[in-house]
Amino acid sequence: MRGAGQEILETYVASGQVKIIFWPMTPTGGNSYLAATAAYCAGQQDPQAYWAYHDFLYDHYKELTRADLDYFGETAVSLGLDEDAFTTCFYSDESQETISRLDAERMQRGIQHRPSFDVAGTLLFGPQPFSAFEQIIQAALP
Amino acid sequence: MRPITITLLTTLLLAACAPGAVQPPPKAAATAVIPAEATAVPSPITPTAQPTGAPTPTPTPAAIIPAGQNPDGAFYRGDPHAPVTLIEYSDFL
Repeated sequence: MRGAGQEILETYVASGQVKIIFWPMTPTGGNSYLAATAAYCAGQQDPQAYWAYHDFLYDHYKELTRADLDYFGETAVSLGLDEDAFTTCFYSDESQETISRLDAERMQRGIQHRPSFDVAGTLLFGPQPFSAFEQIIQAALP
Repeated sequence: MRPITITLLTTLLLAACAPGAVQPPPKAAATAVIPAEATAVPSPITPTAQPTGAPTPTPTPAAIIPAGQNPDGAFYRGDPHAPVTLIEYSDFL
C-alpha cells in the first residue's frame, strides 16, 4: 500500500492489531496480471517472500509497464528465490487460475476502483490518508 | 630504503666507536619507516546506482511481522488473529 501503508504497518500491524490482506486486481491484464502472478509465485516459496516481492514491485512500479518476462524472473533471483521453482510456478495453470479467480471474486464483491480498501467491513475507494484508516481502525478495535 | 638504512646504521656505528663522538638518538632511523597509508584518511563512500533488478532495501519491518496465505490464495501480513482485517484491492502498476 502506498502512502499510508508504512504508517499502518508500524502503528497497527506490527502491534498485532491489524492484519493486511493484499487482494490482487488485474483489470488491465498484461503486466498487471504478470506482476500479480509473479508475487503469488514468490509467496509459494515463502509467504514473507510474497511481501518482499510485493514491496519491490511497489517501489519499482514505474518500470512495470515495460517489464518483460525476464524482469520478473530476475527480480525473484535478486530476492534470493529459487529460479526454477519460480519459473515453474509462473507458467503453471494453478497460479494463473488463482490470479484470475481472485480478480473475478473482487468483481463479484463490487470492487472496481484501484485501489479500494475494506477496513473491518467499511469500504474506501481510491487512495486514502492515514487518518481515514485510523478512524475506522480505532472504532473497530475492541 | 634498505640501502639507506644500512648506510645510516653503519655510519652511526662507526661514529659511536670514534673517541669523543656524541651518540645521536637511535630513533631517527625508526621514524623513517612509518607507512604512509597509516595516516591516510578514508574517502567518503560514493553512492552507486542500483542494478535494475536489484532489490531496494525497504524500511518496513516485514521480516518481523508474521505472514501467510489464506485458503483463497491471497496473502496477508500481521497476526492472523488480529481483531481488525484490512483488505487492500489493488494492482502493482
